[in-house]
Amino acid sequence: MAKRTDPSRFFYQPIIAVLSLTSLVLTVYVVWLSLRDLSLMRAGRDTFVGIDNYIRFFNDPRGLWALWRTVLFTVLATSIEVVLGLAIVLFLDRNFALKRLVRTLLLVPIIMTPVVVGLTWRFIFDPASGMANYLLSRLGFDAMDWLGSPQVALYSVLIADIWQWTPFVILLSMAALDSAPSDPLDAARVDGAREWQVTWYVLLPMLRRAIAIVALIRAIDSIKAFDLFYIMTRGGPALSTETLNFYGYVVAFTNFEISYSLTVALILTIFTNVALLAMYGVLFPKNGEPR
Amino acid sequence: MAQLSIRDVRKSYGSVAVLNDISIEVEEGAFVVLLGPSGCGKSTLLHAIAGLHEIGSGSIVIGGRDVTDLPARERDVAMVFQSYALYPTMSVRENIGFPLKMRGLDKKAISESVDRVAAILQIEPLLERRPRELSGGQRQRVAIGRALVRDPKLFLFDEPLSNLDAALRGDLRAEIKRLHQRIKRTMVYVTHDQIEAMTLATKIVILNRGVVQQIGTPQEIYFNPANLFVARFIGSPPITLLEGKTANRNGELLFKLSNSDVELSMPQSTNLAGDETETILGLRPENIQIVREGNASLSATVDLVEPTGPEDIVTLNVQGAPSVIRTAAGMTTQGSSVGLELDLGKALLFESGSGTRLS
Repeated sequence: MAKRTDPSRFFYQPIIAVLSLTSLVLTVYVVWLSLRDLSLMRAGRDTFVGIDNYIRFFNDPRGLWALWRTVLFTVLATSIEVVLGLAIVLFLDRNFALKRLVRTLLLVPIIMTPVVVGLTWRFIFDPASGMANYLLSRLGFDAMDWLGSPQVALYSVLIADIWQWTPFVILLSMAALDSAPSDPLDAARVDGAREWQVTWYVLLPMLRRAIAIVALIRAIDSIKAFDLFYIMTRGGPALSTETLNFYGYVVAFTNFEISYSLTVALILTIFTNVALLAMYGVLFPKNGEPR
Repeated sequence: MAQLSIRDVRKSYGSVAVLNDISIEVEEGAFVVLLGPSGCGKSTLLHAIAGLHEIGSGSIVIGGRDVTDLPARERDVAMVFQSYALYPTMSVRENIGFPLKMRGLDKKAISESVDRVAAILQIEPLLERRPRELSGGQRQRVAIGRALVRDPKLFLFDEPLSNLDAALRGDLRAEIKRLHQRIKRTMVYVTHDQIEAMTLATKIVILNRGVVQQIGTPQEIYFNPANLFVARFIGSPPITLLEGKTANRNGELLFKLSNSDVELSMPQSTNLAGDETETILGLRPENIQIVREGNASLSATVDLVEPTGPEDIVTLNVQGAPSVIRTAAGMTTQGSSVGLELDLGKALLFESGSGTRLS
């Protein structure tokens, strides 16, 4: 414990103070605005409306559908990326000649800007000239309208997201795997475990914390996902890819309803925090190691 | 019948041979220690026996069954690692029970076995703890418990005491010895510590650079080393080595020290290679006595005196060669000149170049 006389506090205390102050002031201001009916169409004529905006949200089917899509997208993206990433890591967990090269290649999707990723996948998913439909035709399937069909569009964006972010899971899990001791794995083999049992009973539990952190980061990012949606579908077709984050953007910058937009943002924040705290509680129980 | 047979085992990493035609026979109930400096291949050999490393050629037979091509889980061996290798996410109870769980035993049977083992090792109060809540000695006890819980054909120990402090190492060493006497199982134990090897083993295998140097009981290894490497490696303080030439003058066997004109008259029973052969004469510390300079066969100066209480460890300079011996406390002072009486009947002679034993 640093004592109160520790002079390093002069370095960190001002930063903490400024950060807390700005977030506190902004939060209070946003909450205050969400209790009014500020709209850029009626600038200067806003009044206090109490919790009307919140009541409006829970009676707004478009908002509720957007919330549901956010949940669906987050759960699917996080779980598929973590499971797929782990599977690839366990498969790659051998020393092969091109390991370094593979690691470098894995970074490419992560460092690509979302605009490029989005545009690339839009080309791939183009119904007339895209590679996805070409592949389907070679395999003998009918062409699909990847981004034009309300039933499919959300999953098309999901595929792009998985392509971009699974390598992130792979990189972090690989680092965790490399720093994990290998003796317990050998011990399990001598103790009579088959390879899948070694992985299931010994390796994965050892990586659990790292996996939990990766999942948490991916979940937070998925909830906030905006760029891919904006570039690939703009929330369409027929609102079928409109997530809550995107809906808040539309309310603010298409409809100019600032107060309602902030309400949507606050609801998303509360929902995110509750979900993540619950997830955190499951992944990191207070009493020692998870069972 | 041998419990473990290692036959002509070879293994190389690229062009480097780590194990070079190793053949060892271990009889039922023996405590075999694989001893050697780091990098001599002893751990590699142990991992090969466990099935964790593949071998290039040769075969490994455990309990009459050729296990060379079997994976570790089918070899029916138990292993204790230097790093303990406990499963960090499991409790002590789950750790010890894991080998039984992998064999599909029911919960009740596992629980009973774990309790039995915990009683033997006196770790009952620790059963619900996690490995990281244990001290090093407790962890190693748990690791031994995990090996003990089933009844394997072979116990393997990979430097199990190296990560422990000196006092604990002594305690656990005695405990392992008692354990072996109690359960009478075949054990193979890897160490670089000669005290562990001498105290525990019924049979020691000395390895250097992937080659077996000598196999024998601790006594044979100490009193009758096969070559210069073994003689040097075993013994504390180390053996004193004097370089010189043999000579045969009128039927009298002589050993002429290099860099001096001292000639030692060897007993008639000595088996010398021939006249004027470059030879190394080895003497254990207990065969060198300090006497008054007048009636000594050799003189030396005292380089260093290290008191240990009842006795001093004295480093001498014998005609340029270092020699470490034990004396009664306070017998010598640093820098003084002393005479030495050598018990040449117990001298060990080695060929200078190859290090092969001559006598």
